[in-house]
Amino acid sequence: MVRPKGKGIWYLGAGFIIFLGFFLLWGVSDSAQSQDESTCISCHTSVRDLVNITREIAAKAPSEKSTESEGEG
Amino acid sequence: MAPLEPYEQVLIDDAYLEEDPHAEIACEQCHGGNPRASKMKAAHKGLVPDPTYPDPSKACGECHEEIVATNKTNLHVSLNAYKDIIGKRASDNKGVRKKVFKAMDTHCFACHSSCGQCHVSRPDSVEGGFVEGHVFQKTPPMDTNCTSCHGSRVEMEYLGKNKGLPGDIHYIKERMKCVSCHTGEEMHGTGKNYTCRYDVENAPRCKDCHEDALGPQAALKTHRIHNGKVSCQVCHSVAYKNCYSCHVGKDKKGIPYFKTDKTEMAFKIGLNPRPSKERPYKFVTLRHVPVSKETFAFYVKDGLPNFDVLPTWKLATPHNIQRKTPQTERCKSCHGNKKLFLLEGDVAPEERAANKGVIVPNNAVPR
Repeated sequence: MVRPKGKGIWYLGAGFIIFLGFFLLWGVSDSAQSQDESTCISCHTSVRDLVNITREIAAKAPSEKSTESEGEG
Repeated sequence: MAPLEPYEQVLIDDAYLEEDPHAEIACEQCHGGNPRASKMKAAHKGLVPDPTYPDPSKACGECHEEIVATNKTNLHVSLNAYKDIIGKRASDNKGVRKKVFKAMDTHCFACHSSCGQCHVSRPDSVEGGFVEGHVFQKTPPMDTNCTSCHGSRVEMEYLGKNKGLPGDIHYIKERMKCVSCHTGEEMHGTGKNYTCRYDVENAPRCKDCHEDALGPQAALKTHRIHNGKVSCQVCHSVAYKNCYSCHVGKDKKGIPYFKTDKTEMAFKIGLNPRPSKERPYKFVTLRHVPVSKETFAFYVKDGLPNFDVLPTWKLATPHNIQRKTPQTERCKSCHGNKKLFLLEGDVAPEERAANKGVIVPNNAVPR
């Protein structure tokens, strides 16, 4: 079968647009997924988690501030 | 300023995630760590709490290239003034000098700033913590950032927190904040390696705003008479804080501490220790700084044998400016009033040699 002249360019363009669409969708979903999966965000936006964790840390390692400091610096 | 609760120090606000463009950058890109790990220890492995210190080029430089370029010369980061003045007083003996600078690393150099410690968090020296849930602050807030370090002198003077003394007119009357005078350009450094803040060319000057009030054409006669002879603060400042004898060391647990012997409110006019084109004055206000010959005695004996090369009463620009002060009442308020001047008897005998260039001889007090 002989394709009409110029149709190849049309197919090539359509193919590129479809590829670009997939590429962008993949990028966006990956970015959204990585933000969802980030434990940095999930933990550091949760007051409850942070209160519990910082209490645990304080119990294990009390504040490292010398009580001997005196006067104004 | 009360420190934040530990959880508040690291709590990210929704406003940061929703509105701050910096939130488009993944956490680990600046701070490292492992965002996939579910346990805290693993998630924090390799974490960099302040990715902007000492070198902010990776974290900030990609977008803020020009500002980052001068970062190394920014006095808040370089702390060159400390290095210079202690370096001049310190022993020439390599071993002793090394111990002095090690002590400074532990104590003096712990007070520095960084991009993050002005624009995101409170400074580390006051236990840190996000200013507003990690939302970047274009202008650092005065109360959580500037005065959290510059508290005992500048904040107390400027806001009028010293008992019986008024706050600075620029704050009381106009509610001006630190950044009203101290611009971002000044704070970020110019690329020039200054060793003293009084040399900084784009630092604020009174004449930047009060040009008409100064110079030989000034409207006020007293301004014309005293032009170039006395600093503005000599007439327009009131008593300010002077600290004495700072000692640093480590306690039984090995935790660093400092002790200052005494603090006193005083107002002293002395001879200008560093006349310059910008400050040609004969008389300036002087403040006693807390250094002493024994400051580093915990770490090394006789660490500052060249103590006398610099005065302990330093050029000062107190932040408690008033239009009317006891000095402006009448001519005789200053002329012949020896109490206002730094005389030999005001200086501790062991510090007289260091201050010989700033002590006003009895016969030099203006009559």
